Amino acid sequence: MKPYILNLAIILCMLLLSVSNLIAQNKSKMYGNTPDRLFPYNNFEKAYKYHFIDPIQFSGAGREKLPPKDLKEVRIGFLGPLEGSAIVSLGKQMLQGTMLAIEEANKKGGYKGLPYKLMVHNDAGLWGAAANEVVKMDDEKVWAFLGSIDDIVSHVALRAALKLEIPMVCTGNPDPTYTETNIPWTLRVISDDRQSGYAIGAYIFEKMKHKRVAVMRNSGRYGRVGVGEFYGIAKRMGHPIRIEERFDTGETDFKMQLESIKQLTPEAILIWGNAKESALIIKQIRSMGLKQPIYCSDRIVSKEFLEIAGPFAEGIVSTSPYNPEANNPKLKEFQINYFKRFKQQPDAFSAHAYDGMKILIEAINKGGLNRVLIRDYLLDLKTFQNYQGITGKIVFDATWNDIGDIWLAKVKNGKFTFILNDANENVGTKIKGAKN
Amino acid sequence: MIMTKKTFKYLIIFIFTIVFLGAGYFLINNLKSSNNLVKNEVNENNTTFSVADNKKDLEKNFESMPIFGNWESFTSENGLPDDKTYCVRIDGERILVGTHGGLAVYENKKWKTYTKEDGLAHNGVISIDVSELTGDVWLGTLGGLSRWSAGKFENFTQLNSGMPNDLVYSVVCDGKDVWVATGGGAGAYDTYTKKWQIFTEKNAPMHEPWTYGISKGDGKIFIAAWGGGVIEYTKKTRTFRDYHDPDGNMEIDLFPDDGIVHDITTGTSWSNGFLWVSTYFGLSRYDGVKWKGYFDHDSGLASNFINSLKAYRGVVFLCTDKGLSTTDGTNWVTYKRNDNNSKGKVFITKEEKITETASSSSISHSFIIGVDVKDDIIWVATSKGISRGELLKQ
Amino acid sequence: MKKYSFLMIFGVIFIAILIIYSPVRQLARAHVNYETAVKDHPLSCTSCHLYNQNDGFITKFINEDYYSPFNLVVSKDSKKVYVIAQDADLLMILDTENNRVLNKIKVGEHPHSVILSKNEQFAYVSNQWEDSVSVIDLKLSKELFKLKTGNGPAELSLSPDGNFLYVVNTFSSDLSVIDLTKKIEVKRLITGSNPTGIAIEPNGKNLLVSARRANIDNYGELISSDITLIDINKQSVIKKINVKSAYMLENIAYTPSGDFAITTLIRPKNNIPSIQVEQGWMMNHGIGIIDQKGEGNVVQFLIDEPNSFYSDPFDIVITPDGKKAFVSSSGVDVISVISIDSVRAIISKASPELLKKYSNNLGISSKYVVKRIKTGANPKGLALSADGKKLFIAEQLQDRILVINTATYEIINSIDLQGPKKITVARRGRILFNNASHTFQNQYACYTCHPDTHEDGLIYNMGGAGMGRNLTNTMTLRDISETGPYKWTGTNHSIYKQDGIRFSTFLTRTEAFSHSDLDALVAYIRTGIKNPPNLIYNPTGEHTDSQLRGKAIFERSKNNFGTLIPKNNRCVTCHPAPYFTNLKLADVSTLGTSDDSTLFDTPHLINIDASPPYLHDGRAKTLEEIWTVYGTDEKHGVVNDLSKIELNELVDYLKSIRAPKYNKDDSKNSQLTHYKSK
Repeated sequence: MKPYILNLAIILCMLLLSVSNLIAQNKSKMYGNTPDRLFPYNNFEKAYKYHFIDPIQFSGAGREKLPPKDLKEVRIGFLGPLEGSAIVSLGKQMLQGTMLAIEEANKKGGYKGLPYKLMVHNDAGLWGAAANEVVKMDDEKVWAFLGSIDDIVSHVALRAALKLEIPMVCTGNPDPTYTETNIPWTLRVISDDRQSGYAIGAYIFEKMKHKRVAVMRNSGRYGRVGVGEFYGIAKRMGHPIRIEERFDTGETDFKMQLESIKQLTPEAILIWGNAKESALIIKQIRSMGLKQPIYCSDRIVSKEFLEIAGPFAEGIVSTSPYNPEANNPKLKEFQINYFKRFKQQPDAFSAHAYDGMKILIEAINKGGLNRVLIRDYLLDLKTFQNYQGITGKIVFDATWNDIGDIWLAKVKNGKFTFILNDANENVGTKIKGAKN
Repeated sequence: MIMTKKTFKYLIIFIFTIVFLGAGYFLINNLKSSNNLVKNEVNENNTTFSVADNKKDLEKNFESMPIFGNWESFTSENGLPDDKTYCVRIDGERILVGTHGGLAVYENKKWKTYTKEDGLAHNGVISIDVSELTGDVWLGTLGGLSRWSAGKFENFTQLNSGMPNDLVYSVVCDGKDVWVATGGGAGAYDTYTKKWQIFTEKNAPMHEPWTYGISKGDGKIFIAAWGGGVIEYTKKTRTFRDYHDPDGNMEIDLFPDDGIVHDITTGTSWSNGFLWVSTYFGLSRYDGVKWKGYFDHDSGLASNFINSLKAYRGVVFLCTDKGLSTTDGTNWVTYKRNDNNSKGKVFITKEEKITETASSSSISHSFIIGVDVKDDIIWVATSKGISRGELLKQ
Repeated sequence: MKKYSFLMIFGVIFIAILIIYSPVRQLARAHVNYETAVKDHPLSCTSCHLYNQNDGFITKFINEDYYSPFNLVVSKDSKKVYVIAQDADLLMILDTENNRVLNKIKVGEHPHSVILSKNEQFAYVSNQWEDSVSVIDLKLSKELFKLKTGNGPAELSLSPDGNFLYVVNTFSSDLSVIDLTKKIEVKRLITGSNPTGIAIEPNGKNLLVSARRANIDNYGELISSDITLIDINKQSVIKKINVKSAYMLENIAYTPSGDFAITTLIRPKNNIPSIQVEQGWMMNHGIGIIDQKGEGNVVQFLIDEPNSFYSDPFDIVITPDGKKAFVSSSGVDVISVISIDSVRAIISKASPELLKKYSNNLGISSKYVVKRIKTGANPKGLALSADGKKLFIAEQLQDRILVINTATYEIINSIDLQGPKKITVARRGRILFNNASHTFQNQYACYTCHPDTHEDGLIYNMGGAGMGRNLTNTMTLRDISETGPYKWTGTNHSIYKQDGIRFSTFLTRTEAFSHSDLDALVAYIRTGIKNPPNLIYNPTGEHTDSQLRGKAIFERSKNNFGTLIPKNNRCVTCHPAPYFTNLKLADVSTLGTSDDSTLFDTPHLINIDASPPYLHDGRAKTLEEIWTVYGTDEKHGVVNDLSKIELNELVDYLKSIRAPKYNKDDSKNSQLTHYKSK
């Protein structure tokens, strides 16, 4: 081929590409605290359309609706796993955190003298109860609700909340796709697995310099979606995951999966699952003589994990959306009150539920008894932006997802110790987020 | 070495072209509102233009891009059980409207309401279809599926039958079968054998078990799976096929025409060879070979947030949060309410030129949730009331 | 020689002593006492061991093949009668002038009804156990082809233009609309539950379908049944006419002017203790008048009298002059003649409140029932000659067609179908089963609560323990010979005991059945009652993939998490094949607050789809509810780990369970062969 034809061809191609991108949407900034070089396809191709840049506004009717007269209480719904689920202990913590916030609000006079009443619903009933529970809450005339932890439950509930137009504050579900549904009726007050994935990914690949990582994940949706973002950045950092093994909730023997992992001699192993199975897997990994560093998802940060894993827990690192040791007077007060009320130490789920319910109550106080107006305050990205909660500073992005503080938790001397994630500095982004 | 003198020259030309086109684009974008928006106050009998030529015509297309007007609206003040209307279905001489407070039926210029007290599964009626075969009305509610046959309700729930879930977002009658999209998967009920079949991620290529929309056409059933794109079921072969956004990421659409614009789909509708798919992120059209994407920034679409859609005679009617948009794939007409004077606004987009027309009547609210069209009549379910429009004479 | 004679005499005496005093006899006595739960039942081995045989060589000798005429139709010139011989799967053509059988045409399995085309060239016969209609060319006396229908086709009707055939599907509770020009079913319209009757309005605009089973409701709610009004032109349902406090609307007919439609009905008092039979409060029998004007209200009148009941009204025909209606009171072998003018007069004079009271009034039937005509055993289908002068009656258990003069009510002819002359023990039992004479004032027959020898879908307050206590969901009588013990509480280990003296104390409130009657009744129940094939869910014996997955769940020993399911909580442990019962009592955590403390009998699962509601007190309206609502504590099998898809598969399998006889040899079974060939 003659050089000038080649040149012409190159230039023509570039020209065509430029024209085609002329009507593509301009990108103002990356969504979800994602570093430029880790944003999907960003190194190769600008996307035609970038979502989640500007928040969706709710333009439906309902703001003009007057509050009902003769109310005796102001109802707020609660949706969580309280019975018949593997994560009932988390659900109970979430409920207790919520209850404490409600009780404190009622001590201060409730809503203009009316007490707040929590309408409690179990989301783990048989035969797919979550959506039906939201419908029941609508029938009970709740003004908003808080929930849940399980990702499927939360998605199903959110869809019902959208249809019924009930504000929903989520304080327990870390599934990134939850807020990526772009539904202008929910606020998430807990960091998601995108943030966790970035944090643990940065720690594993950048700080610890591992290259060959094996993944053991829960076979359910929690595991599948949870590791999704971690996989994305692993690939973009040049260390695609070579092996993934799965396990079911309730499974106790992981020998087959671990044998496969062993053969690949990974430098590190990442486990994404509930506390119980994660602890059992760690025990079995060590009993097989594998000495690689082990990393986990944030659900292991619990007493249950430490009890089951025992000495094998030592040195395990995970992310955590909550730092119980943070130097925060509000948090200390909460921990004392919580223990006094429930004779139990609060965990991430109770702490975020407490923050979430405080935000919700404040939105109700501001918006009044009108679901759309409550929503308007919750989601205006002003009223609660940079909210100083007991769990730290809460920052929301355009999908009302919490991209605020996140910690790394490491087991030392049989206890979790927490450090604010800074491994991101190597990655060139600010996962702790609060300062941007 | 590739970079010769000539190459340098061409590069200079290239850069100039880019600067020139870029400046042009900037001007177009910024002057759109002043230059291209021709404001005129005319009566509603406005000009129309040809519908794109569909080769696979199966039903009579609109002769030209239809424009509806003479809107008449109804709210709770006129007899609706609730202002919030979810869906509407034209059933011969009567209109069935699903509201938050029950089923409203408009017949002989009067509204009649049916609620749980009359036997309905739940007052929140969110989807409706009428069986062409039997005339039975199937109502998807927030608490189960109701068959309304000759004034009597028979209810199917997840507890008393094989139905997947009680939240029935969408229902469609297909011969003797009734298909539903629910919070727990898609379901098919055979009215002859009284058997339910459920389709979830366990037995169909869905990522997630939850479904939001369902429609029929071309011997197929199209399921809008929330987060799972579109699942196509071919009745003859009883096989599934799934369509996704190929870029695999929620936060972007890499190419608009490479597949569905987003995996979070809200509805599907088929008409005359085209499958239309609505999402909260834009609109997609599939002709069996190629996909085409439409966004609010590159077409006449009022908003990317599309609650539902209905394709009819070659035109798709899109229920967005900012008005009712209609398109044949090329030309666009959008209806909104002017909140300042309660009159209507009609936006006609033809070859990137937008014409805004004020209309004396208006749809009752710009937040559109449902729509149905039959011949010359359109009914639009909105966040605040329901509106009836007529095809304007051309 | 003398020595031998002496020995012989001694031997005979010894044998006689042995017979009289032997322990064998005592053992036999003890055995019979146990089986019958009485001490005086005659010691006759044959009554049980011969007549209760279900199959085997000997049964061929002791049983007979009867015709059992069920429905019939008369030619316009009254010279021919076309009779459904249900037991023989025949359409019989009778010559009414010479009283002889002209022809017997083989039709499908268990035919139900017959109608003629306008020109009388074709006959259409519904084959209830084959889901088809036989189209018969009457000139050729030959079946031309079969049309596929819904499940359990019963009554038929032709559209006024003759282009469409309407078939009432009893088992699938719908109406098949068959396009006769294309010979295909074009649609099915939903009707009331378990319908049989159909009537076309004289002006050809609408048709009515009457249902037999009541709509399923909670115990304590007044029952109601539906008549479905269908627009013939649009071929769509336009109205459900709710008939309150009544069920078993077997048949329906319009007056020639079309001002009324009249249905037969039964008014059960299932919510009050059954002991009320003495007050005339258990079962009432009557008619429902569907007023075609106004709102289409249904006015009910009883055809019973204060001390005499006319149970199980089956068919109804109305004379062409619109003056008289004939109702076959099949439980008392009577045709009740009703003066329609008298009924009209009462309706026109009475207020709606008064009419409501009339529906329970035994005293006013004398005002409109003008005659009771005695017939042979179990009169079922009726047909009038075109001029209305003759009434033809199918006497099902007499194998005879009776012809009555409708003016004088005299018998003018009786056409014997030339069936077996001998009345076998089981046949006698069947006659007893269908006859109400053993109940106080003829209030009901066994058939009344067990229509089609099945069950009526109602929940009864049995016995006298008090209002609302020990509720009982009626159980089927089909194929129960091997599934004892009986009653939900399993207290009766044999049918002898079940239908013996206690039966009369609690239910019939008359003398108990005589020993020989009881023998006959038991022989019939044990040998003569078969299950229909399961044509919807298991026509061929081959399970679908979904059913096979359900079967695996039914038989599984581990749940979805791999945990072992205790043996006594696996489906298959208590419900093993062939009848899917282990014949034992069990606690599946269904004891209600209204129940006395007891275990419950494990029911068989044959054709389970046909027996809603479920559980001993009928609390579960559908099979799903057994687990989704009433079995969440996992005492009735482990299902909480199942997905909804898996539960559906389990239910799909349960519905596929069919009677063992159909599994024996499919290729020899005619209706299945027919089904397969389709």
